[in-house]
Amino acid sequence: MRGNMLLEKMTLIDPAYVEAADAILKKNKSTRIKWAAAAACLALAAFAGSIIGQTPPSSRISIGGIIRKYKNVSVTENLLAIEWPWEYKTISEQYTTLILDGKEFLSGRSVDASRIADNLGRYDVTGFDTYTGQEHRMTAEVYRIAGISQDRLVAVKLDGEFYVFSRNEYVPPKNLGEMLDDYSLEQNLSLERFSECDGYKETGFYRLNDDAYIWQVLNTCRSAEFTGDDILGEDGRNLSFTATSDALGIYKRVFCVTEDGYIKTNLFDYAYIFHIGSTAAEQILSYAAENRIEAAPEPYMSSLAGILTEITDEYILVDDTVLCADEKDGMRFKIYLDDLRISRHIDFEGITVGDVVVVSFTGSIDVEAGNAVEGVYSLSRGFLSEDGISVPE
Amino acid sequence: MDDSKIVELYLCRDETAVKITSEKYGSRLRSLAYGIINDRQTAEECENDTYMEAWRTIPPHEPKSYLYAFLARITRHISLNCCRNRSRLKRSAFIQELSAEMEQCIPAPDDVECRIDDMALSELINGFLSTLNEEKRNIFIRRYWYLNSIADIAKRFAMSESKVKTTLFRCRSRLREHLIKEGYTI
Repeated sequence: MRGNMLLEKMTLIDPAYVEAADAILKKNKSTRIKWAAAAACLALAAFAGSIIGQTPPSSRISIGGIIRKYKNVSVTENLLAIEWPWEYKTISEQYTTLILDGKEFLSGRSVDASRIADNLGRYDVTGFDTYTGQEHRMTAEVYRIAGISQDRLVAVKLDGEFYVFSRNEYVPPKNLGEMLDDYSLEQNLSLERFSECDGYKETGFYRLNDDAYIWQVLNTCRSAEFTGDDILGEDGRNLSFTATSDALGIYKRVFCVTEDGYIKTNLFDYAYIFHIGSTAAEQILSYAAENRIEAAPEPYMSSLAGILTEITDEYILVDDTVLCADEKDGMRFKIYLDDLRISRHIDFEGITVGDVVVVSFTGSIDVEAGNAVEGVYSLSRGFLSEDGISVPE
Repeated sequence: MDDSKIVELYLCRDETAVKITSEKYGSRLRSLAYGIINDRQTAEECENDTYMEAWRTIPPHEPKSYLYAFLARITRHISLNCCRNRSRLKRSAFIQELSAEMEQCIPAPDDVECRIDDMALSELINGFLSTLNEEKRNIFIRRYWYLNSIADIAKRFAMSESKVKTTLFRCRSRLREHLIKEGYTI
């Protein structure tokens, strides 16, 4: 038997189990929120999003700021279900769990040393090697992050770098004021980029020069109660602010203000909703409408795809000729291998010369450095089909 | 209307059975199909084909106590076939990857026809699932029955994607061990 047949035979699973697995869960992390603006739904934005649906014979798209003229292709990219062996995990992937004062915290993004405050002491951090079944444990320095409650987030020093560890339990703030205080949100979060939405549909992308007024309004709503995490239905007119913060360890999440008077956010993994009232909401919406400056849509991340043509000790080269409307326009992009998140795809997964690959990145492309791609964080194998490239999940 | 009454309508060849089924389970079935094929129009076709297949197969089947699971199994089968047969859906890579994950569970994968009958395999798989706790079992089923993405499962169960991947990896390893322990070569 091969895997495809076993996949087919999964229909033999007991109907009771199948039903049970389809039951609606409560307390999901942001599950039902369709974040209209900057959120993960744009995960493929710059590459796939730009190409899919374009009409033949070619499409002009921007890859990290470089305009490319591609054939009509489609790219779908999802996450690979790879559990990396211990030695191929980054340090924050290895040591994922901290117990501090009886509370469990889980590892996240790195945080700059300038954000670090008091030393809280040395604590054990643990990780699990699924290949050997072995638990790993080490002692690490734990720090408070400036202005942030140690009940919510802390920083752990691993291999000389600081990483945000966030509380794993579902403990929503009682009201908006508690969230503002616990995370020093006004200091740690900028509300200057937003999209205007009608329900789920984005109608424009804007920025503000100054978000002070918005914080002023939010501070008048400190008693706005937490109303739940169960968001269904469309929201009418709303503003979706892009929420990125080094101190909070978050990247392009959403802070949404709806015209019917709600703040809805997924800043801290779970969906939090506060009722600030329609008057306060209207103040924010009106201020944004009067002071907004048009801005380009901001993709969640960028991607490029092509054939892997060369692997050296330092970098790989990806050639996009196969996608080009005119083969003469093909370009080679350089992706450095000094990041384990990339090199492990070559060393362990076995991606090799001749493979179709998709590269995801958050930075730009340095043309003067031989089209070096900056901020690369993922490399995936793809498959060429007559319709273009697709990447398995 | 409860499921046993709906099934009675099928058994009596009353065409309102399809309408009522569609009202009660249409959106779940469409959503299941959409999750597999990622194309709204085709998902609707799969949903309609499901009703036709249900009409054709009840009787002899009488899924009074498991109507949704019965219908969903049909939808899954039709949707998977669509993925394989319609290249425009561009889902072959997704199915290939899920198949590759499943293959990790098979002690000695080969191209020979399956040497184990469905009844024995059913006992084997359900026996394995009964050894998992509820959360792990649901994650396994969401991935390999409902064919959900890792990201969707992570959201559904309020956990990180890495935890989902770890859980699935362990489940696959345990299923493989279970097969070996039970002496099955499949």
